[in-house]
Amino acid sequence: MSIYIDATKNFGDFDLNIKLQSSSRRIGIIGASGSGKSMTLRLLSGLSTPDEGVIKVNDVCFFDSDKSVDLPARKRKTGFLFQNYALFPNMTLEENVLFSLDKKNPSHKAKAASILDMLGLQRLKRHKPSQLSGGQKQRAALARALAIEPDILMLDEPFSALDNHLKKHTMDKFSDYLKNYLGIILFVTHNMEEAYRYCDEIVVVKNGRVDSHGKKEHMFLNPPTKTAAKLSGYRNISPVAKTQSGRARLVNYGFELDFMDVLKPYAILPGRALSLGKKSEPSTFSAFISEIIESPFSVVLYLEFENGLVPVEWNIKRSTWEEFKIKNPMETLYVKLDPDKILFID
Amino acid sequence: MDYTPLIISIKTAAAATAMVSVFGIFASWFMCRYNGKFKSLIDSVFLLPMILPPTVIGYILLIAIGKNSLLGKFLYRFDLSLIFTWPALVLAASVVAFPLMYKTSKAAFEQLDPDILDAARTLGAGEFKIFSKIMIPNAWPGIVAGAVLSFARALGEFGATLMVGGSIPDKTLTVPIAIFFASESGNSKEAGLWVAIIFMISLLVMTIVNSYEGKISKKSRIGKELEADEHLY
Amino acid sequence: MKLKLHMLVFILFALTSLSAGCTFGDNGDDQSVTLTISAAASMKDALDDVTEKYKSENQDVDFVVNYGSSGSLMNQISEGAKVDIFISAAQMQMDMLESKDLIDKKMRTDILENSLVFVVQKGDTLYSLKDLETRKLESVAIGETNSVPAGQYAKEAFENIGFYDSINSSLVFAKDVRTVLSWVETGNVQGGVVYSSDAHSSDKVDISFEFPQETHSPITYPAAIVKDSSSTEAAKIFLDYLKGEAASDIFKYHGFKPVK
Repeated sequence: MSIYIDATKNFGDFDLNIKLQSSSRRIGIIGASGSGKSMTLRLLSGLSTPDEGVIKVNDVCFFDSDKSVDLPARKRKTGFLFQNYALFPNMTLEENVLFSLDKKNPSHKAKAASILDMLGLQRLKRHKPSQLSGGQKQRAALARALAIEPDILMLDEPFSALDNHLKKHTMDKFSDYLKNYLGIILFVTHNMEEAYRYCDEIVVVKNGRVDSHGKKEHMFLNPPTKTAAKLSGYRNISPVAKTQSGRARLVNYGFELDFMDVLKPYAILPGRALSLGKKSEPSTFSAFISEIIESPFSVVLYLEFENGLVPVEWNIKRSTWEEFKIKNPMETLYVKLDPDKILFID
Repeated sequence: MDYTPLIISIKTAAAATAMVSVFGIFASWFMCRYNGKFKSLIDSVFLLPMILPPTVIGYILLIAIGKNSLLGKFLYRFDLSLIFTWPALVLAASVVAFPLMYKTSKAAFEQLDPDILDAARTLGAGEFKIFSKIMIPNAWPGIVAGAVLSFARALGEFGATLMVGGSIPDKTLTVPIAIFFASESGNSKEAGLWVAIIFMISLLVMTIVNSYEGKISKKSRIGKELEADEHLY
Repeated sequence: MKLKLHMLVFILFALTSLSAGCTFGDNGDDQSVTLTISAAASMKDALDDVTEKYKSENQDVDFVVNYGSSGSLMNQISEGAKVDIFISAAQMQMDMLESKDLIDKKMRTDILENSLVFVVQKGDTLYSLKDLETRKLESVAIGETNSVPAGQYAKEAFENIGFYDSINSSLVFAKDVRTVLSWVETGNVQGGVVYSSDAHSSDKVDISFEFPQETHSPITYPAAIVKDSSSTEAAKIFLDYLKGEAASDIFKYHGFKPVK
C-alpha cells in the first residue's frame, strides 16, 4: 500500500510542486486554505492534470509525463468525497449509490443495499438529495464513493460544511463507517485535531509544497517546522539568534540558553517547559502577568518577561492555577524554564 | 381566409425546434469541454446568426444551399433541390433560432456545479454518460426554455425565409410573410387577423413556459423546506 | 484600462450622436428648403443622380430621400409620415392615397415609364416569349402579385398571353424586384420578370426579351405632392424639373422612358 507523487503544476500566480511518498494507510494532509492540499487530491484522482511529474498508487502508474501516461479519472478508482458532497440532484439516494454500478445486476444491488445499511441510509434511499440533511448528505456521498471499492479514498474537508453540533456527532461515527474500508485514506483538513484523530501520518502543505511529513505523534510532539508547529496548536514560537557569547537567544522572550548542536532558526516554548520557580534558582526568570483568560477547566496566563518583546502564552489547568494563589493580574511571578523541553525547529 | 400559412409556420417551427435542440445541445456540450485556442472564435460563429441581419443570413444560405452550391449540385444528381422548398424554410428557421438554443443550454450547463461532474468522473463515468445522465437532466429547465425561445423565434422568422423560401402559396408561404404581403398590398384586415393569431400563439407559449418555470421553483422550494425540517432531528 | 476603453467608446458614441444632432439643427436654416421624397426603390440610382444634379444647380434646396417598396411608402404616408413628394412605381398605391385625400390631385403627374423584361443569368440560354409556351421552365421568379407592382404586371402579362396557368406551378415569389434579381443572378431560378431599369442596374443578368406593351397595363411612375407638405412651392418646382430635359436624360441613361 503506497502512494507516490512528484508533480508540478503552474497556475500563473501560484506554483504547485508536491513531492510525497508514503506507505501509510491513513494520511492527513493539512495546511491553510489555498496551500494546495485540495489540488493535491485532484491531481491524484485525475480531475486535474499536472504539468509534469509522476503519480503512482499501489505501484500503478496514474501519471508519468515522461512516458506520456495519463490514466483518466474514471479508471483510477479513487473515491472522492467532496466538501459540498456533490450528490446528483436528479437522482434518489439509492440511484446516486448505484451510479457507478449496474442497476440490473442483483449482486450490485445487494452491494449498494449493504453499503446503505452500514451507513444507516436504507430508510432514506428513495429521497432526493434536496430532501436530506447535511449529515445525511455526507453519508450518502460516502456511500456513493465506497460503492466503487476505491483503492484510495479522498476526503476533502468532510466536516467543514456541518454545523458544530452535527459535526461532533458525525466525527464520532465516522471511524465506524470507515472501519471496514481497507484501502488508503487521504484526509484533507485545516484542523490538526481531525487529522490526529483519523490519521497515522501527517503531511503539512504550505504554498504548494510539502513543508513537513511524519508520523502523527512525532508531528505533534516534535513539529519539525514552524508551519507544522502552528498547525499543531503551539503558540509560543520565537526566532532564535546566536549571541556574541555563543548562546542561543529566543528573540521574542529575551531568554538565552546554551545549545549543543546546530543552531536552528526557530524555537517553540511549550507550556510543559515552564513551571513555577523561586527567586534566584537557576534558569528562573521573573515575569509579570499582563492578562488572565479564565475558562471552566483551564486558564491562560500572558507572561511578560523582562527583556521580552511578546508575551508568552501559558495554558495551565485550573487546579494548578488555584495553587498559585495569585489574584492580581499585575503581580510578578518567578518562572522556571526546563531547557531540555524547548524545541528547536526549522 | 386560407389557413395553410399557419399550418406551414407551425410545422416549420416545430421541425426547426427539433433540429436546433439536437444541434444546439451538442454544440454547447462540445463548447463546455473544448478549451482550445479557437474557443472564442467558434463561440462567435455560433452566435453570429443572432447579430447578423436575417436578410444577410438568407443571402448566405441562398449561396450555400442554392442550385450552384456544392450541396445544390450534389442534390441535383438525385433530381433533388433544397431551395424554394419546405426543408429550406426549416433550415432558415433553424439557423436563426440556433444561437438561442445554444446560448441558453450552454448557460444551463455552465451553471451546473462542476464538483458534480467531477464526482461522476471519479465514479467511473465516461463523458457521454455524464452528459446524458447528469448534465441533461440537471440542466433540463434551461434546455426547455431554450427550445421554447427557439420555437418562438422560428415561428417569427421572416428575413432569411423570404430569400430561400420563395413565398410559394400552399408550400413555402408562412404567416410572417403573409402578414408582410398583406400589409404591403394594403390588405390591413388580413394582416391584422394574422397578427392577432401570431400574438395569441406567442402569448400561449410564454404562459406555458412561465407556469412550467413556476412549477420547478415551487418544487425546489419544497425541497429546501424539507431539508430544514430534517435538520431538526 | 478596461474602464478607459469603455469611456472612449462612450465618448465616441456621444460625439457621434451630438454631431448627428447638429446636422439636423442646420436644416432649420431659414434660407434653405429640405424636400422629403418617398420614392420607389427601383428609382434609387436614377433619382440619386437627379437630386445630385438639381442640388448643384439650386444650392438652397436639400433632399432627404426615403426609398422603399411602393406599398410600405404608401402605408407610411397614410400613417402620417412627413413627406413632400411621393413617387410610386405603380398607379394603385397613388390611387389609394388619392382616395384617402392625402395627395394633391392637381399635382399628380406621371413622370416615367418602364417596360417589363424577362431576364436570365448572364451567359445562360436566351428564351423568346414563344419558348416559354413550349418548354416548361422549372422555376421563374416574379414579385409577389398583390404587393409588388412588378409582380402584378408580370401576372397580368402572363394572363394576357394566356399561359399563366401553365407557368403558375413554376413561380416563386419575391418581396421585391431586387430579390428577383438575386435569384436570377445566383442561378437559383431559370428566369425572372423585372423592369428594364432593374435589368440595366445588374451586370450579372441578360435580358431575354421585352414583354410587348399591350400585354400589360402601362407601367408608369406617378408622382404627387403630399397634402401635408410644408414646402409645396419648392416641391412643385422640383416636380417640373423631373419632367424636364436634364432629368429625362438621366432617367434614359438608367433604362427608364420619360413621359412626355
